[in-house]
Amino acid sequence: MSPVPTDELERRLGSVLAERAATVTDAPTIDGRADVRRRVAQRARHRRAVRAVVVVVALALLAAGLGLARRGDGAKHDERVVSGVYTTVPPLPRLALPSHVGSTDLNWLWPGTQEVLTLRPAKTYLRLDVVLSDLPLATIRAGHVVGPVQSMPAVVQGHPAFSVTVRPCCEQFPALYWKPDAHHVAGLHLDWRPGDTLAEATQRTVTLADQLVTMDEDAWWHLVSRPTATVDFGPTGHTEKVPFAALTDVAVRLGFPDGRSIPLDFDSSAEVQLVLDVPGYPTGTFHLRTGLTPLGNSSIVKPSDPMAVRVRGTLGEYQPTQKGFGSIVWLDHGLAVRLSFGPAIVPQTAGTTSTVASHGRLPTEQAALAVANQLTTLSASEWQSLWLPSAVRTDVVVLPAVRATPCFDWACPLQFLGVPAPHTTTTTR
Amino acid sequence: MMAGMGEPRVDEARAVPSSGVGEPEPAPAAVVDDVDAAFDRLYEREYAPMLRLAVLLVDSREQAEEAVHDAFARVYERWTKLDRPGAYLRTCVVNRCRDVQRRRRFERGRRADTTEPSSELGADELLDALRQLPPKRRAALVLRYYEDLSEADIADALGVRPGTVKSLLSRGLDQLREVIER
Repeated sequence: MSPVPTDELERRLGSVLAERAATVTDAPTIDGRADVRRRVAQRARHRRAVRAVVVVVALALLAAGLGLARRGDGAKHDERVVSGVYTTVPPLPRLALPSHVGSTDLNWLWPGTQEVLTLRPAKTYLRLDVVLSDLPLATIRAGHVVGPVQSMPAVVQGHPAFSVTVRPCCEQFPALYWKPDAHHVAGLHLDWRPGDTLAEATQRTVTLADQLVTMDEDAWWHLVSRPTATVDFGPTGHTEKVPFAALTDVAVRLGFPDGRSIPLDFDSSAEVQLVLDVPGYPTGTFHLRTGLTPLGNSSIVKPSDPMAVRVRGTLGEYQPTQKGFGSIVWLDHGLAVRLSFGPAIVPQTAGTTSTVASHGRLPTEQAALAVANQLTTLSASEWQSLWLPSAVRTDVVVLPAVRATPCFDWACPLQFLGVPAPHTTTTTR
Repeated sequence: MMAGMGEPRVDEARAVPSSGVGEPEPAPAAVVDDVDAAFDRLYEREYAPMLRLAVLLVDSREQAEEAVHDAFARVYERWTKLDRPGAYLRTCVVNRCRDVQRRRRFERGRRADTTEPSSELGADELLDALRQLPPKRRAALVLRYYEDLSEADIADALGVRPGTVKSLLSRGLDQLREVIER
């Protein structure tokens, strides 16, 4: 069989196509013009929607770009900082706040208790983004350069406790707080002042964070190893009242680095006197009015008449060459106090009214209490400058029992690093 | 709605061939006072030819109407920017029909059904063979042997180079020849 000639094939194809086309009636089965206009309107709506999405994405990218640009002033710096990013970063939390926060505190602890953080053997840098839904968007960035490689383990396994506390209604400093390990604790406070909008507070804090991020290592160590003159440690007799009215039960606990947490026993006139003696720091006696009345020998107390907790503290000698450092973080107005110290302290002087620890170390948790009492008078920037060196870290937590969730159980990650628990004592009288 | 489908397609905003599709071309939109009136005239003149072209490309009358109306909608949107709305309309129709064919072939593939011979009266083996061609090859054959477009115009309409059109036509004819010689 000979192949069909191309001419013949083309002729047949043209003929078939024409015949097929002739079977098509011309009249549209639908109202043609109206249908076209309906489609035009539909496509216009679709385009507008797409355009809106594109604009939102573009703005988000622009904002991100601006944030990156503002973080550093050059590629060299960025390279230096970014080079220390965590190789493994847990998913960042999203903290959803209700529209009216009121007196509600939202405290969130990193859920990944089994997380393993692998730190690169270099400086580390962490960026935290907090998204506050139903509120003006706040991005709070906390950048931390945490120590040279020789002072930190390559791997920190444990609980990267992470807490975000925001209290717009409270005349206090909500804290964005991060403690990757026991030795290197860094905190950044959202500088929230009365009358501030969230945006204003955020901007101020972001500026502060940027200063930290862009700081070179020498400046960082200078910051964290030397208290500045702007912090007043003198006796204050501070009597600011803590808004405990909404609370029903309050638990007062003293936490220890080895994970222990003991209740503090108060009576109506209890006064805890702590001694704080750190070179460069004036020794002072501070008041902490918690508005608590204890329930006997219990960790649960109920709010009633104000109770003064008198605190004095003395810390030993600091050896700045060790580059150990700690931080003080004040969480919640009058509710949580935390002091974190680095590992390089050689204590000298025992507290005059407190029991001396068996190894001669000072009850630095008492110092935490003492310093914490100053916090209500400090601005956030002063807060940032308040970095203390010490040998141990202790958490002193005073919190309402109604939310005495594990998020306030500041079990010290020292245990993960094999650091023996410090010996701490408290004198209550 | 077929508009905005993601596959690569002919740039419908480009200049399109001037031949075919009912002469003379409408006046440029800029000089037409009443856009709607001009568009209506284009619709009246071109609807039937475009419908027939679309039927030859997609077989189904309903899908052909869909494609044609969608193409008219695109023309309406760009009316003021078009020099030759008729040619642009044809390009849109071809693109819409190719979308339909691609979608149909995809669905057919999911059903593991590779052939779909027509059951319509009058359908012959040549039409069935035409239906089995890839969309672009089929469109080239229809534009050449039904619309009687030159290879250059087909290239513009399909968004390919003229050499590619030659290849499409040649391979399309070969494929048809194989079918009818079986």
